[in-house]
Amino acid sequence: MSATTLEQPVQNTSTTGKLIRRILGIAGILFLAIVAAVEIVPFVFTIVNSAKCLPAINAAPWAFVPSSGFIDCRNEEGRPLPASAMTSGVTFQPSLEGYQMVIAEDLPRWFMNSVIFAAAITICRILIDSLAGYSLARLKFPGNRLIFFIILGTLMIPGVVLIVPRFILLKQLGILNTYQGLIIPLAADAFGIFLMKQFFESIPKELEEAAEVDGASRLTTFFRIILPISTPALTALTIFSIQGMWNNFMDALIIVGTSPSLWTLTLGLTSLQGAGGETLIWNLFLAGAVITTVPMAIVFFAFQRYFVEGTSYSGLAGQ
Amino acid sequence: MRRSRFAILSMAALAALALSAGVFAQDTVTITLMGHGSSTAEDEALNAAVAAFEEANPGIDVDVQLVPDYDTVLQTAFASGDYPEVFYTGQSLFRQYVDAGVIANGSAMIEDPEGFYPALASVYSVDGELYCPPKDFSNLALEYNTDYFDAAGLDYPTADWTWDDLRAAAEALAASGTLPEGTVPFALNPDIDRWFAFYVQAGGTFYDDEGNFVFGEEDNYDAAVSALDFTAALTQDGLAASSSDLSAGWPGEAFGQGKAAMTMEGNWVISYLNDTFPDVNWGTTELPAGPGGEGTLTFSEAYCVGADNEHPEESWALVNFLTNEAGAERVAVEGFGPMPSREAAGATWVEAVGPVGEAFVAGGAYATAPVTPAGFGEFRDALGNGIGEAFRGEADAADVIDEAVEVSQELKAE
Repeated sequence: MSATTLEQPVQNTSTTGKLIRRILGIAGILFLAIVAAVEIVPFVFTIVNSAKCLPAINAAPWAFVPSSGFIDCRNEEGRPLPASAMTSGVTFQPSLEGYQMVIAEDLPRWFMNSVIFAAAITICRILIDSLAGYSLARLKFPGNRLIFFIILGTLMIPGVVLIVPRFILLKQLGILNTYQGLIIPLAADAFGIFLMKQFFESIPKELEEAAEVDGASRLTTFFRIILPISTPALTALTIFSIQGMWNNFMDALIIVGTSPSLWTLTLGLTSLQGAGGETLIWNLFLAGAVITTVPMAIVFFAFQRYFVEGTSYSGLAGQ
Repeated sequence: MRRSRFAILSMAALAALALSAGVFAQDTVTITLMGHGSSTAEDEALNAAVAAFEEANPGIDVDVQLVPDYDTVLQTAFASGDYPEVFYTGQSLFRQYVDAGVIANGSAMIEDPEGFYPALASVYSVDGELYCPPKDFSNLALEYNTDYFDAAGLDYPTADWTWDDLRAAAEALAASGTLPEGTVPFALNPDIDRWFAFYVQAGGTFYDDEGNFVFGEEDNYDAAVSALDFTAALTQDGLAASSSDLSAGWPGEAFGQGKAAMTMEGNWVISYLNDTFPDVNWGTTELPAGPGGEGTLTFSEAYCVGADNEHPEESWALVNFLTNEAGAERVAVEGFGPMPSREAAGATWVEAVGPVGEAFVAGGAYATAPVTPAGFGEFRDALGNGIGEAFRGEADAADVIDEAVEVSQELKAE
């Protein structure tokens, strides 16, 4: 009896419940679509406006349909063409002026520097962080735990506090405005060591004992046995490192800011803003922004799966 | 074998380096000039001027460092105690740097200090002694869209305009019905670096003879209230609107897009409007005079020489080379955004940029730098927010000024 009285309302709500669930589902999709649009639209406009002439950007920033064929932004006398000549409604005449200008501004060099900077630091971190993490996880030596806590403690220090001391130290060492000055201070990081240590502790000790029985030394075990099975943690470390270094601004500014031949993309891009943001040359700046963003976008799409795995493994969405 | 050869080679290279450095150190001095990048043309002109200096002074090498996020880099260098011999200093940071003891007093070293605009020289002076020669500057002037004035059958604004003329022209533009839909007579932001112009036109001052900040105090109170009443009324009556209300990034952009018939911006609008809005026809004139007479705001930078400096003579030689009359002429002929800091070079600059430049140069004679004391961010925020509220009709002008003065006095008491 109680079963039937209970069943009745359940069936009732199941039809209205279905409706509510469907409405909720549609609302959810709508909400997600709006959020996605908020994320995607600025990116689309960055790309679209980077391929316009200056007057067109100001007259019709929203125009997003390119018509075929690239145009010159200036007439034969060198006067800029009026906006009416290159936009109508949502269509615009694309131009490569911004890209030509930004490449003339030494952007290829900044790009190379960013690649060198991000790649060198990432390689160093993979090696140093994993060696340090392994030592802390497996080797028993006095002060092991203390060292680990000190390393962990450095995560609590805000980066800005270290700017001046780091500047002085590098100046004393005479490696300001050099590649090594840019790379060495960032070649290891506490987060990476922590990440690797936690991972190594989850690997069964028996694996190493088996290798030891076969006569492998500590280092052989580490490089032949441990590292190859550590790909999830190493991928996470790699992705965080590339992403962090590609977007790094403050360290690069302090260490190589006064040496334009060593500028990374972030520094170069900032220099394109000029002194007063008001007279910003938009197509130039946006072209630089696109060139800066595209490699990270490619890395992201290529390693999308690992990104998700990496974040779920480390329990962190970016450092 | 290979390793040892490498070691010998590298040692030889090191020795050669050390030797060459030693040789150079005897007769060449290297000084660093640090600043921020400007337009490509300006950066190139600076490098050319420095090259000319090096040629004239074979014993001095100048390392020009134009860095992004300049203030951060310079302040880090200050904190480390090892900073450039010569560096740019903006008007708002000058006092702070003097107080920090990083700027050398140039009163005995600067060539022909009388040639600078007095308003500029006073910004970089402490107790009447000029510390840093001004590099270049910008003034606010009134820009107007000639097509809109023609369509409404109105005379163009002139240098002898007063607040009443501005208001009357704005009303006539609005009443003429010739402005396009959505276009306002005047683009004006509730920004203290624009609004202070009305304050000085109303007779307001920033500092008394002892150097105390006296915004809105005693005689300045009425000036501040009348300036805010006048500007708020323009907005309240629909004669003026801010750039964000006009969906533009800044008033110059709104003006270029044809959304305002007039605005007040600095000489940076010249190249901006020419490059970005080539089909807009526009002119400039001096800002209208208020009850206290003529007034405009000036924004400038100076070349300062570091106080802790092993090569003061060479540093001053460079700074003088860049800022003496020949240096000012060199800036002027290029016709960049900012104007040369010496009155004598004004005409050359106008020749380079065209007649629209005249109003900006003319303002140099009576301009005021809107510099608030170090640590007065809270005051700037309070006044800026208050101006916005008054523009929107949410606050009374007198209340806004009362509150700003209160904040200012609290900050001074600290």
